[in-house]
Amino acid sequence: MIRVIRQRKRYRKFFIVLLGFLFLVLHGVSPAQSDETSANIRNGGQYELSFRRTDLNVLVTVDELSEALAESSVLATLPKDYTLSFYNAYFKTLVPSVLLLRANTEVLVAAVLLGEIQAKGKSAEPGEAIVWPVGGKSIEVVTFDAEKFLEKSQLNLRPEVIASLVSAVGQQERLKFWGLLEQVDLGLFSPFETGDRTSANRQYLENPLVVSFIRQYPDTEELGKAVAEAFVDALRTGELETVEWLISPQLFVNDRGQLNSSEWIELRQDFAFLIMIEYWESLQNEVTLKSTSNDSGWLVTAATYRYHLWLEPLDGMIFVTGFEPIKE
Amino acid sequence: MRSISCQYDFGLNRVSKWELGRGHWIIPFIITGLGAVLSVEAHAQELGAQTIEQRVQQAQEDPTSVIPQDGFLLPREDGLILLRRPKLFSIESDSSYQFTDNAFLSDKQKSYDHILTQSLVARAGTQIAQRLDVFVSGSGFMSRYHRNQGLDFNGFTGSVGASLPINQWVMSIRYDGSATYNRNFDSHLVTLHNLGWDISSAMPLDQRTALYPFFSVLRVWADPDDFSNTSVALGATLVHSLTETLVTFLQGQADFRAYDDFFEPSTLEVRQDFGARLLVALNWTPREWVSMNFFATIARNESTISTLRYTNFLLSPSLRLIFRF
Repeated sequence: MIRVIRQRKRYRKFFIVLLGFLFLVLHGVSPAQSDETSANIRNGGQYELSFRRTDLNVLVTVDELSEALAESSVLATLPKDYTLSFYNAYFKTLVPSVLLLRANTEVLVAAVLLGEIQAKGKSAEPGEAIVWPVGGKSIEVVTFDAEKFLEKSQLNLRPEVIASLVSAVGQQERLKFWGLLEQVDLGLFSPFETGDRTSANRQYLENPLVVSFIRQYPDTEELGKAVAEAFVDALRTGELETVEWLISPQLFVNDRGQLNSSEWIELRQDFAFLIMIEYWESLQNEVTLKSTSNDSGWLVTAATYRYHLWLEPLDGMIFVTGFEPIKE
Repeated sequence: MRSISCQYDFGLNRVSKWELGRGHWIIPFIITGLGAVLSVEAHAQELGAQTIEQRVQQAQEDPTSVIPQDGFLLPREDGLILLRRPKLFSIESDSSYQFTDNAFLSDKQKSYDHILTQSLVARAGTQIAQRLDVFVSGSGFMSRYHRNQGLDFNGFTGSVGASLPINQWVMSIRYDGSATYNRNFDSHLVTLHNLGWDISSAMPLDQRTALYPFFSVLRVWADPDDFSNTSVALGATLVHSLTETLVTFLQGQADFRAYDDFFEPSTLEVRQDFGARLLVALNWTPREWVSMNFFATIARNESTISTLRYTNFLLSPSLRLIFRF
């Protein structure tokens, strides 16, 4: 009898432990949730740093942020007093914050969903966004419609972020009532997506490399120098993609002066490859670049080899239009 | 727009009589009398780049300059729609030159003249609940006559008003308080407290043309109180847009005005006026901050007091500059 009782007690303990384990499995950390937990939110006010690409729903590191922004928006979760810098723009969080970061060749935007950020003396709260225009010297704080964002956004937002935006909705409704805010019916990026941006020129402008160049070098001279150095360096190191993206699309227009969308990209790829295999070896020596004074070009010297590199602006970017040896 | 007319009555030995007429201020580009506003707006533009406000303005003025967001640049989660803080305040300056063939507004003393007017207006307004427009303004004005300098005057006005759309009509109420002085500010001429109510509607005739009928009632309390009166006006304005920035309008108005006690001990008559006015105008607004107008009016006033009957022809180009912030 005593043995039975002891066995029953042992089984009871076993079941208690089993129930406890099941409880932990169901309500604790699961493998599917570990990614979320390691990335985000809230325990006693501490926000872990994370950046999530919204198109692929994958986490990226802070070093990958600039490249990610060239292709997608990024949902950033930042702790208090964190300074984030990218594309020559930087801001600081005043409190733990959740932001939606977006960029194109003309502007960089940090939209505040939760928390507060500050840049150059200007702060933004939920429902507001800080905008850094390329070429502009001062940043601007704009207001976005928090209610429409909650309706249209397909982001999977956490409850506290939604609560923050709901609070912003209430505040914006009050301002709208008194005529202190009005709807513009334009997307935040619409005023910057002008008719100059066609589907054709987007093909050679809206890529990470070009976006990063345009954003990092608003000065034309600096941009030209950066493109020249990057092109030569890419030839030297065999970075075919960089060579390809820096070659001017104007070299591949048809008789009507248009880019044939189905052909020109492939032509440029082939051309970039030919240039690379032709000049790669000669550039393995120490390379120096010197700007030529009489044209928009550069003199490239590598030991006994000398080349002339031509650059031309196109749609806000500077591209390579020629690279050929100098015949003595 | 307010209209200001003046009368010089030799018979009553008054230096001048000043009446503040009414204009249909809620209808854009309508000038119903004298006065144009000259105002200045300074554009602050960041070196090498437009501000977002300027870009939004450009996008709204020319929607074709903005390409619709498509999937290429539009992440699935986009929902960032702009809200803007409207410019609630403005400073306006109106300058006008006027030619009138009847400076004294009396057929018994017909004299042509050239008049320069200038006014400066500070205005604040907002729209409550996206329906009720309210405003408050203050202004200073002056008029200078070329041939009859005794008619020169200066003055100040404070106004407050509201308008509310009701179905296809717009109902407005407005108060103006003004004090008018002579040229040197050493003689007070008249103080007016105007309380006006009007109702108007917009009736589109085609894509470029609309008819705006209106009816208004105006009560004026004046000091001296000889000028206190009550008037009603009925009219319509036909507006036609030649281009996006060039607008023509034709206005006809009839009004009846009854004075409380217009110098009755002297005139021995109750003054009642019946007037009719026809106005044609051209307005050009090349930019949001500048507007040029040219109008011509012909007005006929029949009064129970014979010396106050007149026909008046008026020509006036004017320039308005507006600074909004």
